[in-house]
Amino acid sequence: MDHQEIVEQNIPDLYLMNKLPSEVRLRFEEHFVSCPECLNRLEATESLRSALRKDLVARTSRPIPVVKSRTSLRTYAFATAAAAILIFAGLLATRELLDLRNRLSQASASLEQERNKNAALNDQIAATAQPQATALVFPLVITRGGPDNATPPVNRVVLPETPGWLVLSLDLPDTSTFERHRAVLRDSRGTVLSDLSNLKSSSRDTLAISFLSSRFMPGDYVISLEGLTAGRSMPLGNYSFRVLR
Amino acid sequence: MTLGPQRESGTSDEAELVSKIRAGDIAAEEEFVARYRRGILVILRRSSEARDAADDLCQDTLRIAVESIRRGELSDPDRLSGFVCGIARNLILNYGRRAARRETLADNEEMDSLAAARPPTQLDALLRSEQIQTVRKVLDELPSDRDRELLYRFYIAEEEKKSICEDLGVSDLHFNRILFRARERYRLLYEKYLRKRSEK
Repeated sequence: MDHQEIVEQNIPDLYLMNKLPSEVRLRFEEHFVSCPECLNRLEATESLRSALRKDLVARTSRPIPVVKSRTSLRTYAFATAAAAILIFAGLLATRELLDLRNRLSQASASLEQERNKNAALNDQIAATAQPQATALVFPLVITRGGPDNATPPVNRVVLPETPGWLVLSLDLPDTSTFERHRAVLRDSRGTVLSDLSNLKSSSRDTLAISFLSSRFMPGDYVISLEGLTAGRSMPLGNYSFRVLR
Repeated sequence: MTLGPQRESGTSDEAELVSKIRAGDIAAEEEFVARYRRGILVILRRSSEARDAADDLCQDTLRIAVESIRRGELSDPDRLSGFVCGIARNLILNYGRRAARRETLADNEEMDSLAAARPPTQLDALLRSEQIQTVRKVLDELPSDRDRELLYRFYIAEEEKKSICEDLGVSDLHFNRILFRARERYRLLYEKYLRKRSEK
């Protein structure tokens, strides 16, 4: 086995991820067992992977990252404008007043919806002052029902202002002992957007899945998770979430 | 995936080492242990069955290998590495079978062994925190968000290299370069931290 091929094909990385076919795995073991160069690479890679996993877990245990509250400013500006309209409307006793009132009541309803969304977001935004360094990480818990359910999902994912990378950290059920998982991402119409197999959990209780933010539009989604073992699969739960901009 | 042939220099080294051990050369046995110990440990620690007993099984592998070579049981000295790996794999299988039998132990014994497991110490927490800080430093030093994304998607989300390269518009070469730099930078920073700690 020569080193050029080992490096070019990322064989040490694939070995650590258990992604090598068994024949290649055995041959690579027989090579690296006495090869200091490959052993150095294996150890360095494993150490880096372990640190990345710990970093990911540490990030997911914090509140959801700060999102600049442009929405809040918009909402307050809107509220001010709505109030001005209200005052102005009070001075008018013409037919326009009724039209204005109708429009105002529609605007107020929208405003209330915006406020509710903002309240939920602000709870999550909390006091984290640090800007995010790398990726947005969103913990998701198991939910009942799918994206078509009337109840809004408790899980929220906020898209970054510029396209980037999102990590969805799925809280695994206590009973899950599967090393491999399958996750199917569907939109609110049930269209399969992504079907990922052989996912390995980053720790005993979480499974991290990364997506490009550009894959999502605001709306409701659901990830159906299955545990995989010996060619069989077992449903573990659904993770409904709402994507917000 | 195909892999190239074995290194010729490596095979002749192995044959020479085997002949010295068969001749009773103690220094050759020590060299054998020094050369193979690390690799055997990696194999044992990667196995889900024998991970906990890796150190003990490593000693057993080395002992059995040396004794077999002394007795002339290794028919093809050029296959020394394969022979050593074979012993390690057999020990893993045997250990797995024994462990399966042990699973029938009474519940209280199992609880005792669980209770005896060492809780994380302050040092563990410190090392963990340092690992996180080190890896964040490495991530911050990467020149672009794309490189950071690549690292996470490959090592954590375990996505296929090909799809990552296509998504991010990077070449194979650039992909490998990013992994190499991140790995080396992390190793240097973390080793520096460990050296500092041991000097204190």
